[in-house]
Amino acid sequence: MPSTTPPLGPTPTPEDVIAAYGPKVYSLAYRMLGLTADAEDVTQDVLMTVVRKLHTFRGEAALGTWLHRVTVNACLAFRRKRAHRQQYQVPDPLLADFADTGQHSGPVRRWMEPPDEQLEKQETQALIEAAITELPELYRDVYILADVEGLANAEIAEILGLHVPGVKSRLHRARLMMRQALAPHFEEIAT
Amino acid sequence: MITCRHFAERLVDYVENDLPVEQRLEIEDHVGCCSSCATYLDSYRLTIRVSQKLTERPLPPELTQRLRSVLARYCGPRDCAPPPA
Repeated sequence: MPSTTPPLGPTPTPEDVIAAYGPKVYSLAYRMLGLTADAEDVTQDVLMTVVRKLHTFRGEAALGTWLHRVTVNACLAFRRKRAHRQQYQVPDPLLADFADTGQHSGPVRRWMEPPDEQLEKQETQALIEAAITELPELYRDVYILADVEGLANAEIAEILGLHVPGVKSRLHRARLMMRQALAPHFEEIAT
Repeated sequence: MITCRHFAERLVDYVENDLPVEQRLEIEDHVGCCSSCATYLDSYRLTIRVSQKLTERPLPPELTQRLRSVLARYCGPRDCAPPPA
């Protein structure tokens, strides 16, 4: 979000605000919450906050970082309101890949190098979105902010109220879980 | 000599260039002689790459309509600029 948040003119219309920030906020909220209706409510709340505070921002970078923070906070507040709370005890993803001896527990198959055109296809995007949605929330938030939104670990730590080593630890686990989820789709078929 | 599991535990620091030189060289030595870990490293990097390629989701039309209406109610249909101080 920070690098692509476009500046608005001095007299932005509702249409300008929706076009500039709507898809960014909605995408982040949808990925964090996994539910369209919740993401829509968060998007509305965040865009209302944007128009109230717009005049306080001078630079694009400051606005981008702030937009992330406001959207993440709105999503976290939404989750707190949900009756169902996720359990965070998840097995170490390395346990599935490595034996007690420290060696790989099975053969490691090479992945196809998918061309950009394939990654841009709707089916591939849906596959990756689904894998992200399956991540436990604890890991999902860090993963989205780091590997989808491209934020630095220090920025993520600040937004989520964590220390950088905690961000890296969660990010590593999230990547391992994502790798396991995507492997069946990207592994080359043995000949 | 590090094990394959030790290698995997340090991947996050390795791909972000956050390891001290000595540990970085240990990883590179290990990957140089363990084809499974070399493949594992490639797939870890590809996992990051495919996620970076996710595009923004378009707003559902009914949400766009709702936002138009809510924002126009707040700031008028033409201008969301703050009132002059």
